[in-house]
Amino acid sequence: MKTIPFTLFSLLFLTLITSCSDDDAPEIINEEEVITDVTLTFVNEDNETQTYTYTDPSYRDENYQEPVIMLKPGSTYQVGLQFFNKSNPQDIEDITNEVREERNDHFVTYAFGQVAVDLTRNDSASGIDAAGIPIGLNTIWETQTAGNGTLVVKLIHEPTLKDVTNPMGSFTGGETDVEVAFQIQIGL
Amino acid sequence: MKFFVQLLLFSASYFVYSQSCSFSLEGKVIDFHDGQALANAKVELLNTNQIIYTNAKGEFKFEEVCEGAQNLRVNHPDCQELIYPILIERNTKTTIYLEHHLEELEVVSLVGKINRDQTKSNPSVVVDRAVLDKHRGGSLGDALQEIAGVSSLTTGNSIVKPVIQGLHSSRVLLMQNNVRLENQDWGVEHAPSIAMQAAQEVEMVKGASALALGGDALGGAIITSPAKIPVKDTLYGYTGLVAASNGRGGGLHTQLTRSFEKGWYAQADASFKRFGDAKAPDNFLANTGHLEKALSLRGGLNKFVQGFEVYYSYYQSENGILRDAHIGNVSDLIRAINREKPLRSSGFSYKINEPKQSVTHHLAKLSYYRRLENIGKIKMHYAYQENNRLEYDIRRGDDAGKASLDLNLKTHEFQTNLQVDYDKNYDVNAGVVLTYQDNFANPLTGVKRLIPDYKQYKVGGYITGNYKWDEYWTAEAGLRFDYTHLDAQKFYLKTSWDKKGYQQDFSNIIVADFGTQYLTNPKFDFQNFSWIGGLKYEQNNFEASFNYTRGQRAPNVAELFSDGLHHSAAIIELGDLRFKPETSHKISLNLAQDLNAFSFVANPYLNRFTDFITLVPKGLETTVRGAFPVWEYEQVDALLWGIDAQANYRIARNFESQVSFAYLVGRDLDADNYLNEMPAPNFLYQLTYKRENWKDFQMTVQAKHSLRQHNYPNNNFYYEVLNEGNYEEVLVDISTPPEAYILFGFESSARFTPFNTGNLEVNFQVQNILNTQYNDYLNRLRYYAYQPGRNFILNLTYNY
Repeated sequence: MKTIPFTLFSLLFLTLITSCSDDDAPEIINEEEVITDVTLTFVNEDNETQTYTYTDPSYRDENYQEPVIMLKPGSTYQVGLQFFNKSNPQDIEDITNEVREERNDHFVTYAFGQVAVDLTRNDSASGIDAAGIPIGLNTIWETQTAGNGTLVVKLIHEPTLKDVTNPMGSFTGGETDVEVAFQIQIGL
Repeated sequence: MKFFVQLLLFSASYFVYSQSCSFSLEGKVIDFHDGQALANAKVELLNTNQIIYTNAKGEFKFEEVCEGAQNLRVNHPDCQELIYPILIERNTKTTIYLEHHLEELEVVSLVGKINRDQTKSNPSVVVDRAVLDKHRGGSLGDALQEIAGVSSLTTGNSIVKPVIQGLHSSRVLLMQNNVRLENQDWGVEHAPSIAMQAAQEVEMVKGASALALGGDALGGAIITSPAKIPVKDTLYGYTGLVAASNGRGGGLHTQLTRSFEKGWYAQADASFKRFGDAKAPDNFLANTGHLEKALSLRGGLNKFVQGFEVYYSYYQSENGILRDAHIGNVSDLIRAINREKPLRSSGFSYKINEPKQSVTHHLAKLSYYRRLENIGKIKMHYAYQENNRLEYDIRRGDDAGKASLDLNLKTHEFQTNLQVDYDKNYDVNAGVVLTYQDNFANPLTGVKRLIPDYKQYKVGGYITGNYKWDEYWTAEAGLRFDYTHLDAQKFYLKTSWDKKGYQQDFSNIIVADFGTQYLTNPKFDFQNFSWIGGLKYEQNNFEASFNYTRGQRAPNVAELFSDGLHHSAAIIELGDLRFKPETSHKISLNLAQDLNAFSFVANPYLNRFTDFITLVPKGLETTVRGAFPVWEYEQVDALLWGIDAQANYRIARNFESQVSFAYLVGRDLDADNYLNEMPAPNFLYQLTYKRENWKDFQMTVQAKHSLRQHNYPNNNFYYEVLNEGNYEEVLVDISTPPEAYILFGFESSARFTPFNTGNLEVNFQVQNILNTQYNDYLNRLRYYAYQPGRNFILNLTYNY
């Protein structure tokens, strides 16, 4: 008599735990949103193209080498900035279009260390937000004297203020989606 | 069926036409537990004027008892009243068993009074109903904070986690109606899925000594239970309303109970709470609103010999996370720490946007108990819980509005417990708990799983006992064994797999290779032993107890599996598959004296850990999103010691004062440094004026004084920032604790009877009267905003 509830409870417990056991292997997640690669494309006056890509340390392969941007002094370059998600090598995604579509929520800034470059923003209509601010996906660089230094590119999401008084760009608020440093050599 | 109808008709006719009143009814009243006769029990033959008290042998005898169904009402001091139906057809003899153990928690009038029950020699505190009522608009953590030694670890203002003597999360166990609450308790920003409005009785045990509940609660256990339902024919309930100025919100709570003389009962309880953006002294805190819905239903039979209950509870909450606290990387953190607060000076809003959390918890339970004559009581239950946690981040493109974390945790629990308490001098509790758990991390989030899919099987067995030596001395001992088997399916990025050196130790658990990731199948077996021993001395108004507890906790899933960016904290957290259980050896002393005008409780303790699992900073890591501080879980030797104390003094007849104090030091013995996020020393002063004959009028002035934490590890670091073409080293101050602060509060309550039945309780409070601008060391978002400012709260409860 006294064992009836016990047996009943144990049976209930066992049926329930066995009925919902499933041994399916979990599905792989290739991050949809993550930006793994940042690419700078330089086109000089002679229409020659150079490309440099920074890859997130978690997604680098054995052949990866830190990019070093090689430019000539006193030259002008058309520079394009692109973001990619290569977390799934079978399905490479260009995030730049998303950034363009959400141009009101995004902003790119540039900062040079120890090298002198004059930068102007050169976005087409698809890169100019509702307030008329070019968000900085396309720029024109004029290099000055020779030297070695760094470039820090940032992509900011939802800043509360975008400022292009200095074309390098400054902002308040928001959170950083991309912050990468490239080595630059300006030489002959 | 026909037979029953005939019987009914027959007995009715019999009753009406041929009732004779010439029988005798004699009997004996006996204590159910030890079979001893109960003298001086009041036995009343209902619907007559006959009342008899039992003699020394527990005997009574009525003469001239009428034929038919009769009812006896039996009363004895210390016992529950019993209605005993009996059918009289001839001269009758009977034996009546009484239950002398009242199971209700004692409702004590002061927070901090020592309680019996779950543990004998370790401090256990019942939270006063008035304290619970006062915090109906807040959270459980807010209410518990009034106990010396309990603090709150908060994420903003609505996510509040209780911290007991410096320990929290997986080290604090929560019980809801005798079931271990299984939610994602490993996260520091995960508040317990318990509706404050529905918590009827709350008890807290410091340390792992409540072995029947679990041996791994190294910090302590918080036990919430619904109120006990009386065995009588009644219908009652209450409706409560809370309104608060800060957050411009409030809540509604209602409960209805129907019970019957035969022990059947049913209860329904529903609550709803909604708040908009909270306000710091100078500005609204954007996106800090919250919403909570809860429902519970229970019904069953509560008889003397046996009973059962069917229980279901539902809890849903939505919490906004301060918008300004959403940051990307170290550069953002530097800007956040250095900027003027707030960044977003938005207006007030009820809207809860991303980042936010949404949690749903279901609990269904079936329980049964039976009293065994001359032994005690056997209880068993089966419980099913389902917890779904959704966390939303600010996302881009197609992913906007999609959850970044979606965990579904299902838990089945079966427990049986035998309590042997027939002898007044000792009682023994023994039991077995079986748990099966299944966690599913939804891949549709498109974000790497923070916690993997896993299945967990647990078997626990325990035996605890108390022995009452003599009038003064009680001894306590207990032993518990837990076995845990964990079977997980975890993806690792190859880069992080190699970084942790897993290729050497764990290459055999790799199941599949997906290019950049491995699928692995880690399996663990943990065996934990916990035991306690304690002594208690009681004399008149003095009580002293000493207790040693050894507790062991298996590493939780976050400690084992974390391997990446913790978005909400903007840090990279790394777990370790090599962890073994952590062990705590705790000694605590509890002294209490209760004189007429003066009473005090003091509880010094020392908690020595081996393999204590803690996060240790390991420098910076660069990603495409910039730099992040890396924190690795490590096992260290640690020592926590401190004292909780409280004193009450009655200044005059209606004036009472109270001071409580808590001090704690946590050391990492391996690094010879302090432990992170230990509560700062704090005082709570209260002055109360009470006048019972004046509609239960009560008025309290309160000051909460939190000192500055000086015993903290310095985890500050430097970061190179490019400024005007040159790199500068910038100090990132994440460690320095905020300044000390004092908050003043006021509270007043009274009870009115404006209607024919029932009564109305009115409670009015003001928190942070001076609108003080302050920050708390245990608020994880302290870098981004100040704590909420002044708040007026009105609580109306109508009992009927």
